[in-house]
Amino acid sequence: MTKKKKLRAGELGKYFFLFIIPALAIYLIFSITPFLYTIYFSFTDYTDMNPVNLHFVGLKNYIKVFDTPLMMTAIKNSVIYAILLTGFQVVLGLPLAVVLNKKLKTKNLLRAVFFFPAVFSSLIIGYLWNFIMSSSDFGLINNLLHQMGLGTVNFFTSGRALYSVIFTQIWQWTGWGMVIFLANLQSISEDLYEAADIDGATGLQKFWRVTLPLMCPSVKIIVVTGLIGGMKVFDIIYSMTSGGPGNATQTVMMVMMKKGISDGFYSQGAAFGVIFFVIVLAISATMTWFMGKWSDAIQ
Amino acid sequence: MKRKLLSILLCTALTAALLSGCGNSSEPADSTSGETADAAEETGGDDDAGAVTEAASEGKTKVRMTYWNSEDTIQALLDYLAEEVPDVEIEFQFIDNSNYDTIVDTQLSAGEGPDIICESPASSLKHAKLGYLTELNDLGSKYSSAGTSVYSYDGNIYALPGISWFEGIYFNKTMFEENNIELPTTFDEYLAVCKQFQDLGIKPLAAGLKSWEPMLKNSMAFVAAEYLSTDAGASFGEDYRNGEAKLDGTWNVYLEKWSEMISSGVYTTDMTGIDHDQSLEEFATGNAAMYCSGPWDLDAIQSKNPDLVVDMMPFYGTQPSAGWLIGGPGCGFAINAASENQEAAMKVLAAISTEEGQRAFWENNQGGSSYLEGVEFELPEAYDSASSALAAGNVYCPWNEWGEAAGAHETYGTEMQSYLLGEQDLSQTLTNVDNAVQELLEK
Amino acid sequence: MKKKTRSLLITEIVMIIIAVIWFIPIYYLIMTTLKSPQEATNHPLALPSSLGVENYVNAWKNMQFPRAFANTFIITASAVLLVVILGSMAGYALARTKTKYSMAIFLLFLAGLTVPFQMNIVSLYRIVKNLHLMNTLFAVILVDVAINTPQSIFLFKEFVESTVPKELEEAASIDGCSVIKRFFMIVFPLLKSVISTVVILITLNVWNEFMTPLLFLQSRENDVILQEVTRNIGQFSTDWTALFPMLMLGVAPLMIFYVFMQKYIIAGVAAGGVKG
Repeated sequence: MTKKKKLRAGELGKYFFLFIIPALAIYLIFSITPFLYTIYFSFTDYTDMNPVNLHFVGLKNYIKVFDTPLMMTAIKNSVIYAILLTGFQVVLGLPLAVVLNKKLKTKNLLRAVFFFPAVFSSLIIGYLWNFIMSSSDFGLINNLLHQMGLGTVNFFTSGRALYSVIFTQIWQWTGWGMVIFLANLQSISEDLYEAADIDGATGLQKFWRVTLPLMCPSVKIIVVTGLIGGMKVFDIIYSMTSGGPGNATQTVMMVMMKKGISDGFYSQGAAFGVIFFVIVLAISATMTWFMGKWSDAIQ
Repeated sequence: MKRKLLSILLCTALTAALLSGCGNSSEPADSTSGETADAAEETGGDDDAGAVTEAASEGKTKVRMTYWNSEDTIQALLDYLAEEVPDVEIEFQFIDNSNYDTIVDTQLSAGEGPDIICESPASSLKHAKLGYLTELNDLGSKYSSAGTSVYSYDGNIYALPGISWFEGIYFNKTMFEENNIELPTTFDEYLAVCKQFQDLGIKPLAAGLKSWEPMLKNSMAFVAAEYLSTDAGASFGEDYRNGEAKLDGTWNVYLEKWSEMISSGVYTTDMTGIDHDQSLEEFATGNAAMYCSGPWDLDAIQSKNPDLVVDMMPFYGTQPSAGWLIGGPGCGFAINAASENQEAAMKVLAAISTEEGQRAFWENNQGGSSYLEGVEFELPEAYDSASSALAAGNVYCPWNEWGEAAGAHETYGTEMQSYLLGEQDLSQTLTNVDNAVQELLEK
Repeated sequence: MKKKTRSLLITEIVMIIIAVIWFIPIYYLIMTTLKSPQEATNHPLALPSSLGVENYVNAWKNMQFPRAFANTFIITASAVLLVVILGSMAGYALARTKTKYSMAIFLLFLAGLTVPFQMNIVSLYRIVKNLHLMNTLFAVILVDVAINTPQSIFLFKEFVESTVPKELEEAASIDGCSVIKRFFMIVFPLLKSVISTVVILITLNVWNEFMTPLLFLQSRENDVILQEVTRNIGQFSTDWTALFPMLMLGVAPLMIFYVFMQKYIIAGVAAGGVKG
């Protein structure tokens, strides 16, 4: 890529387009066109009451987004959600992968158990935890607390609800991180550990000096995809809290579905979408840059 | 059933075709044949499969009707219509509440959609404005204006009010009697009753505050009794939808008083961890003395605990009164202006607008009342203590008067949750609702 | 050496204990489906006293399970099939052709990995409506294909570049007409391992996708399993234990898929994750 060489026609020649057009057509119609439309709508007065005669309204919709506390709360919550979930996925998933990379007899079974929740839909996981965390006697956790003679813990106060949701998602997605870390671990050569053994390194030292630096690629993947995915959170909120209590767990997608689709504020929804895109872009650019620095630093 | 089976069979067959078609993908044409199969499957999977049924039903006009409640909540009416209007076949379509408006909006704006639409006051107003609905002045004149006023726009009636819904306070009669607790007649007495139960170690009111609905209805009932039903407040709804009044500054006094529900521990912050079904269960199993809901939950309560003796009392203001219930016309039947079956649809609505039609509708909504002039139904036993409120016509749904901003009642409910949790004061709460309302009105 | 075995044993025991705790929610889900409300409240974690399948029968009926399953299956199978075929073709073409255009097209696809499709729901909604695809399974399939194609193209391109030898294709005749035939006869079979990765990733994505059906499928005949679950949980104020079989039926297909294909799924996720 660094050399500037003249690109030469490939072996497919004109048939290249025959191969590419089916995928490209669907992608253009259902990904690129909506993207351009979203940008266009965000500068108009498109609502359900005004579906046809669209007028250019400048930055009005963008200003409105920044003026709406609900939308700002939603962005804040999505960012908190994305950062905490991703952070815990790394902090818990990485050690878990290291341990399950040891020669344990039950390692395959253990891996399967930890990965299990990741197979399920977050929507259903939400309903399940909704029951587990309910304040009523039917809630598993509060039921057990009552049987032990302890008081009720309400997991759905405005202060706690978001963290309760994040907790369930850590439970669900740590196994996903673990699997990716494991794949990375298995690509690390045994020789490096033997060399460290000869140097008399302890287990922990080996982790810091050998394992962690070489885990850079998988950490990067989990961090970048985790943050982007976290920003899009919808299903689990939909089933667990519907954004409540009050607006304590509103996220970008919850608000976009409500305002942008149900309430008919289409153009405002579009502007919110563009802002959302800019945030996601900024996060992935920052993280890519940051992880790049990290891998430079340790090499 | 037949239709469903057909479409499943069709879909399966086409998937099989699709799978085998692509299994031996070796010819250039294959990627396209895969797509054609998909396109065909689309036709099989959606309502175009109706074409098959259409051929089967000889000569009958098919009228499509959508509603946000399932078929069994309206079964008697459908049976009645099948008999009364034999040349029309009604295809009932249930779309659940959470995305009902979105779906109907989309279909209407594409010039499609059902022939008969069940509308809420807010959606009928919107659709009338956009010219999606046929005016129904002739049939509408048979109904009382209390029912049709919320479905009117620019002097025309666009939907016929269905059997009313209402919400009051279910109470466990046995529990009241065993503990010698008298039914309250004012808000303060109500709080005293709650206190008595609390002292006995019984949870006075089961409430699933994870949902925004209970506090919305409970607090609005109090405001209705204290203010909206008085001369001073009678025009508030109209002023509000015209942008000439605000909640903040007007409702504060009443809601301050109502907040004793919170300070006296009837509504607690713990309740935000409980949802609707769980609170219903608490009440039905005798773990709470009272529960706010309406006729739609009675079956569930009784089936969970057949031995429970339930009755319903209304909400009260500070002054003695017959009490107030939150409620209004249920769905409003409207006709799609773009429908090709106007005549048949009109026939159906005419059949509904008779005493027999109303009775059939009432059959599955017992307790509600009809807005058709001169039609009255007996009240089931389970609503005894609410009968004087019903008789006085004290059934009120404040947000129905908010015009296009009616949808903001949800915002009111969620903002009240934040208020309960101590996130914001009352003035801030009401301001937030005012802002949401204003935004909707200006759309 | 002995010390090492012992520490391994301790690690193993600790991990098993953690795994058991990790598994409790799923165990609770399965057990509660078989209990009455009283039993579930009094002994939430005990084994059920009897094996009543009545709850399941009701859930099966209320969810119209066979129909919802068929819809979900059709959507998933069609989307996976299209992604594999179209994605492999495009990935192959992009791996073998290095021109300005192909680079530009590849970058366009890559952009799809960062652009969240969710930002576009408003316009996507309008496009689907204008194409008269609203309330059709086809709409969900196409949108799901568009969402998932970029990642698969990336995986296919990488794989073709690194593991499929050009010599093999050169051996086959290079007359125009059979370029596609050559691809499906010679190259496609070589992609087996990456295909299984793609199939697994896309199956999990599409099967569990909730937002696209929620947006585009409105009538009950067309809805998918997840929509049935939300519909029923909102609607039935009956025994709360009756809801658990619905949750269970909601996850059962993938649970079975996972139990039998566990090794491949974990391998697929690992392969897709590390490269994607």
